[in-house]
Amino acid sequence: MSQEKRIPVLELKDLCVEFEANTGRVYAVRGVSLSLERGETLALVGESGCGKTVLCRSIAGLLPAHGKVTQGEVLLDGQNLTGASPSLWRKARREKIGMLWQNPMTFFHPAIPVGKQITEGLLLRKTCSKKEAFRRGEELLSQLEISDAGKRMKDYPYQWSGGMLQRGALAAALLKEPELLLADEPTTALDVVSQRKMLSFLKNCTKEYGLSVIFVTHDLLAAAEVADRIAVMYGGRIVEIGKTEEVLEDPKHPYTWGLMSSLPSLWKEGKPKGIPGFPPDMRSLPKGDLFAPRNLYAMEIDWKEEAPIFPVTSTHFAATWLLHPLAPEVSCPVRLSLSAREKEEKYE
Amino acid sequence: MEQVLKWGKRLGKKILELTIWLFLLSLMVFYMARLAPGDPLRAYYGDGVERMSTAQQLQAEEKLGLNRPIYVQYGLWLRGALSGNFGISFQYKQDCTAVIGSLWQNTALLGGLSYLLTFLLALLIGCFCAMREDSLWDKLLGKLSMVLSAIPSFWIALLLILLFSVNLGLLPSGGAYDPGGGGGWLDRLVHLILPLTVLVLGHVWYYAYLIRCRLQEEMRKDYVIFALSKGLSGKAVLYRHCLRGSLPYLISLMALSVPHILGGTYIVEKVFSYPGLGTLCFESAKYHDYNLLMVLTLLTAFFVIVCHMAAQAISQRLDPRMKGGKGFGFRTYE
Repeated sequence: MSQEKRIPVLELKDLCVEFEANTGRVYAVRGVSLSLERGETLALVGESGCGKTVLCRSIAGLLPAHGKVTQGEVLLDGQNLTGASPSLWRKARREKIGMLWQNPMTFFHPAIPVGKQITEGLLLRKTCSKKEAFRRGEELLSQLEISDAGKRMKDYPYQWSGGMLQRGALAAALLKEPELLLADEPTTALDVVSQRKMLSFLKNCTKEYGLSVIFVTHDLLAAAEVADRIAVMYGGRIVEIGKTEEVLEDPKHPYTWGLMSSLPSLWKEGKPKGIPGFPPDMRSLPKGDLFAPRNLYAMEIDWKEEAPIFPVTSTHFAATWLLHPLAPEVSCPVRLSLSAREKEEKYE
Repeated sequence: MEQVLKWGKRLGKKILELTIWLFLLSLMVFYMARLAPGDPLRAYYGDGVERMSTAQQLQAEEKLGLNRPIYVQYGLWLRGALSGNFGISFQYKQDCTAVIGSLWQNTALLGGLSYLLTFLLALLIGCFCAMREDSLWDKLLGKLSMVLSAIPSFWIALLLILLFSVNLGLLPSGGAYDPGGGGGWLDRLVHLILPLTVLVLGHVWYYAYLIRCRLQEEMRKDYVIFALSKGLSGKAVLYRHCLRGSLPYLISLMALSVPHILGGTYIVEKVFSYPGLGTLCFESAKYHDYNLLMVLTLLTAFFVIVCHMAAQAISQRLDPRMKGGKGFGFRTYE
């Protein structure tokens, strides 16, 4: 392999997104920096309202009209898309970005046949005929285990189930042969069986197409299953990021601990603990760390200043004052050992 | 075969429905017309009525069948109507169908053209504004539409006549063709310009606004983001997806607006003394020309109801979810 300097598929530099709402300005994303290598899957984990979806949409240039990138850059394949013209964004979406959505039922047009909607993106590139696009769609759909795909493509979305539509959306994204797949909670609206299927398709496709994926989810377990790296978001920031094993086995941020302790388990006694309090109001940001009010380990400094990002290893970073050399030693109160999960799986 | 039977059954149902509506309507109009104050003999004999003696008047009433109780008159009328005989027009002293037969094309031309133009323009304006939501253009057109749709159409008609016919002398002030001209196409078109303008100006804003709002609603749906994420441009999404999504609404709107625009046509016909069904309808009501009024009302009603039914059928075809099932649509789909 030639040793040229590899350009990451996606690079975010200190990205900030704000919304102009009736009740005030909402600081949805506050300085997110990350880079995504080719073929890598990054899971974005966090509560509702922490900015995951907004981050996803700003990467695709599809923010709602009242939202705006106020600072930072989005580099796709080394190309800076911040402030790019609509046609450039369109080109990027047409050729490089595929997207998946939380609720496939509403993301399909109810009165247009599914097949037409799936092949639409491919046809826009004008590289193949309608017939050819349809054939390729059919092929891909049967790969995604939709039986009788050619016939089903003539159906309307209401005739498909949610899981099927999600696979359809995946097909629509993959047909374009994108470099980056933004999967915004693609498993949230599905039942467990469809979830599992979806995850395995995602995994296979990443391998097969060399696709880079940003996988947004609430579900740590799903993240553990597909992701190479996990980024935990809180209050519009990435508070912890690292390789999947690193984040899950040696988490450093109290918020990540909280997320882990909210997982129910078949093997543990008692209720999951969860995190006290509510996500912060992103309109009026309090002084200090946003997580401080919910942080059992909050120190004085937490109330005064937001924690910078401390490196744990060369690939693992966390934004918590607990990593400061002067902070007291606190160890993670929960253990989510992957082996325990594997044990659960065995009994399924 | 089964399909044919199903369609036949559905069609039969619709025809039955239509018949019932027409029957009820005819009963109502028949009674209301006869109960309204006024003298039907005047329509037949003109001012001569005043010189007639009471005995002569009674005789005339008997001749026209107006001396019997209303329900008997209705029964007789119904029997005649069912056999295709709608009676004579008091005013024109000829068969009602003959009177209408010479005029209905005029109305069809005016109404049809104004209908098409109204919706074409409304669609264009609606798309234009929806694309530029809350921009200066959108607001400007919104205000303009409010003002223009608040002005009664007969007044606009008078203004236009004043401007274009009286002051500028460019266009004829009324009629469907020049009396001596013989009615060539160009001649007809020139006569249509003013009535058409009035009709379109009076109606287009309302529909443009409805279409704009509907499109805006449609543009906020999730599928728009899906479509955008495929790399389609905003315009393409609007035309291919949003418009498609609001098509059933649009068709229903078009069908429902048939009576509205037809009513407008009738008024405008009167102002421009355009020889059409509207003027005829107005006069037959005014002069108690019962038989003619009945035929005109039923004809209008028939047209409106059929349009409505067609709209229903079309929107069912356009929105696949409307097919099958009853009520809330909880029945399973095939």
